[in-house]
Amino acid sequence: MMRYFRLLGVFLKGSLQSETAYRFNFSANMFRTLLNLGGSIGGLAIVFNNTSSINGWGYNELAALLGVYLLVLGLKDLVIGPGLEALSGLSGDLWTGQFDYVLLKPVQTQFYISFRKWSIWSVVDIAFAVVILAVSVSAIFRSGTVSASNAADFSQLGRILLFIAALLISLVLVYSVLLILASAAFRYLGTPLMWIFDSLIQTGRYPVGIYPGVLRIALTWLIPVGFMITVPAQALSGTSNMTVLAGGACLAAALFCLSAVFFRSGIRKYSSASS
Amino acid sequence: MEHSIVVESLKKIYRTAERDTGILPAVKSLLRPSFTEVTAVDGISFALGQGEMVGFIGPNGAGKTTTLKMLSGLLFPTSGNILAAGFKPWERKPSYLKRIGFLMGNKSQLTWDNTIGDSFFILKEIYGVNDLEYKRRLEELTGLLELESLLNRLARTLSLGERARCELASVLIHNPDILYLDEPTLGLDVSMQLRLREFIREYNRKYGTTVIITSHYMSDIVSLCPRVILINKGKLSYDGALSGLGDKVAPFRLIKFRLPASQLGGAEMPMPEQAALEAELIDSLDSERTYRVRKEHILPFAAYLLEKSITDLTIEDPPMEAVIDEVYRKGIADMPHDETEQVLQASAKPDGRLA
Amino acid sequence: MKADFIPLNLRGGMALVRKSLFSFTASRGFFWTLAVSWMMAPLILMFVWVAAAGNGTIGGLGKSRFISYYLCLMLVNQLTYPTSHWTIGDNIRLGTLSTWLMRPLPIIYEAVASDMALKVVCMPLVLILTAVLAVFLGFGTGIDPGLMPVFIPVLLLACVLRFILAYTLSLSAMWTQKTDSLLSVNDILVFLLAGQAAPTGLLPGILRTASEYLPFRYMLGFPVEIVTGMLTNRQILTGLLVQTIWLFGIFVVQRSVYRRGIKRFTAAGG
Repeated sequence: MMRYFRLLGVFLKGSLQSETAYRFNFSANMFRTLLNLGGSIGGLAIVFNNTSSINGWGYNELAALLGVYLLVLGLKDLVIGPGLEALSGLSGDLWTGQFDYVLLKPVQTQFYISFRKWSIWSVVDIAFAVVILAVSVSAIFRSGTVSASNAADFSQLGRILLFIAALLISLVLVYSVLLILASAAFRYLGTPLMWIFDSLIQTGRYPVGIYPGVLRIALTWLIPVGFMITVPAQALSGTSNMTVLAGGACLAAALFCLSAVFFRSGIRKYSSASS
Repeated sequence: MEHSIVVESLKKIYRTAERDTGILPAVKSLLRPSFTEVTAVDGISFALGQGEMVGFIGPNGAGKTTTLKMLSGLLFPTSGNILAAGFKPWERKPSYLKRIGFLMGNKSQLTWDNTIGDSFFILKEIYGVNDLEYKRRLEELTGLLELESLLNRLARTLSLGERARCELASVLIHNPDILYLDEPTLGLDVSMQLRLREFIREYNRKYGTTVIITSHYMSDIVSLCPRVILINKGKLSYDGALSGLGDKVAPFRLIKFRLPASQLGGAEMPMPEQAALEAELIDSLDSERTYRVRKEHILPFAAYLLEKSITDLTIEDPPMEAVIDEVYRKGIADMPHDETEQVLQASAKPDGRLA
Repeated sequence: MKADFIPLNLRGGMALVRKSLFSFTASRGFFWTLAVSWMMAPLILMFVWVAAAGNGTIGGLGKSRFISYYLCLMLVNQLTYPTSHWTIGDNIRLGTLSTWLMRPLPIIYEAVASDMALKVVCMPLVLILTAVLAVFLGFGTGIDPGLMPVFIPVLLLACVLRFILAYTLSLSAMWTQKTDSLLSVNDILVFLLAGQAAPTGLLPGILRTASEYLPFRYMLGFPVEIVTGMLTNRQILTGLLVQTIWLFGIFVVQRSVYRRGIKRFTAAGG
């Protein structure tokens, strides 16, 4: 166990060292982050110039939701995303055949492919996300509690603790869905499967409540964008629901196990029919 | 001596779904998929002692790489058994993986944007080599492979030869007991091939590492491997000393001689018994002639030449390349069963040579 | 090199389209994934505006108007969005441009061909998905067939305008490494001002004025506004005028940028 913690550090250090090979990317990355931020906030501002609430969410609540969205994506881009992209991406290890070297490593394979690559610049994205969260949440806290019918009234500390719990569930869900998509690359090589996640998660920029019937159910249980982003944001705005949170935890546990099974069956396929 | 690797009737059949292009066949294949089976490795058995160095030879697609992949645990065998260093490779136990090194000449395990030193350090951690041991290994490998100047360079800036040296070092950091080398000299120039070969020989001698090499450069095999295993169409068709292979496949000798000056310019010396002796002229340069003659016809042919008062003649083994070409093109006659047994027994001997 | 005096080479151009089409069709899974990701933003914003409008209206637009606006936008976006400009920079940096320059065709042909091929490959999927959405969401009001004679030329002009601006920006790779940042700015401006984030009529004060005078609306929102009947005849005429002026302006700039860029590229030796 200790060995694996140590390896996490080694992988992080290795990624840091390789990033320095592209030092000039810093300003470009920063610029892109700011631009995206401008686009997102600008879009939100344009909508709220015309209305004062969407589906019961005010401007501050939606800004907090945007913060959660950027935070979850930032964390995913920090560690799990780069590793899985290096596995299943368009010039990834499965494509180039270097997955052979992955299998030869005397380390648990799923751990290795998940954590071996870090993308350090995402720290900037994460920092901006935290700033947005801090600003919007303090505005929410100042404006008092939101009136929602079946919401338990939590103290501010309680909300933050709930948020952390919901965020953990969200991260497990993100990890599981990504691993399932990456495992599909063992069968459907050459399709940019991780991009599917990137386009679907965009629906999380707004609360799942705005999507009509079937779509909402799909976005809650099938591709659980709702649990990944809406639920943690609800925890912050004090409209969370313990039953929903418990459901999310169960879903996360189930998907986590399913993704491990998927990944293992992918390896089995690779080992029985690679060339 | 203890066996390092024992392989018994190893078989690998690839099953690939096949269908015609187009939508209708695609739908059809969903309902009733049809498969083609390709037998890549077809019942191979052999045993290697600890510290042996063996060359896998055979034409492209013969099943060499598939065999290596099964030995290293990358592929499940369809049937048969492998015991390597006491492990079943396909279980991919970390303790087994720590005892083997597998170099694939056409793939790289060095991280593109890391310096070589950093890549080595990451591997050290992955393989759980302790600091002291690592320092010692790194010093030694750096010395032997002349990596000093490369350790601080990024992998993507290295030349092919530099990278090949680093890749070789990278599979040796954890001091494996068994080393699988798949085309380790692919694409390298002659002097780099020589250096790597020298290193591998030296390393094998020093550490008693069991080494299996595949290479398309026969000189790699000739200079490194006392024993070769010939795989053709998935079957083991020869296992023994390299010299024995020549006799088995191509029971020929080359007779070289110089025509006497009196014969030059005029009509070529008649070779009346040429057809009967199955001698084949394969080279003629100025007055020099080279004939390929079956072993049993060497004496009569030489006698005939002496009769014609040609005394300056030499008898040589055909070059290894020619032998191998012969094998790859025509295959080797099926060995009788008892002979295979013999070979297996012979291979179990410590020096790995045929009795 | 007087590339701009080479007459129109339609046969060469078609050959390039065919070549791109074959290679794209072979990896259509890849491009369909791309196409779906481009449909996401308009789709999400449609739901946002529908939710914001509720049972009322915003700026005179109700639920069904938003649905028809954004479904049309999805199609028009797909038709006008060029992609070649993202790769031209790489080709310039990696030197593939030299191969292009060897051909008796200006390099713009390569870009046009790949964009046309991409649209052909993606269109079937986009049409099917949009149709499914239209049935699913109840595509109600909006499309006036009488407006087609205006809509189609405006749509074509929008395609050319959006392409030529992106292409001109991408040529900047001959001078700088920061082309990608420039292209991202272009994308964000299209998102905010061209009618994606909101129909331009709903933009707040200054942004609305900006959208009327800058070229971005005329690449995307303008044709959609026409076909969904949001504009008066007078507004259509003014818009057409602005669109044409921008098209000519950018075209002239493009020629000069291309000439200078090639000079620089060949002088630097690739």
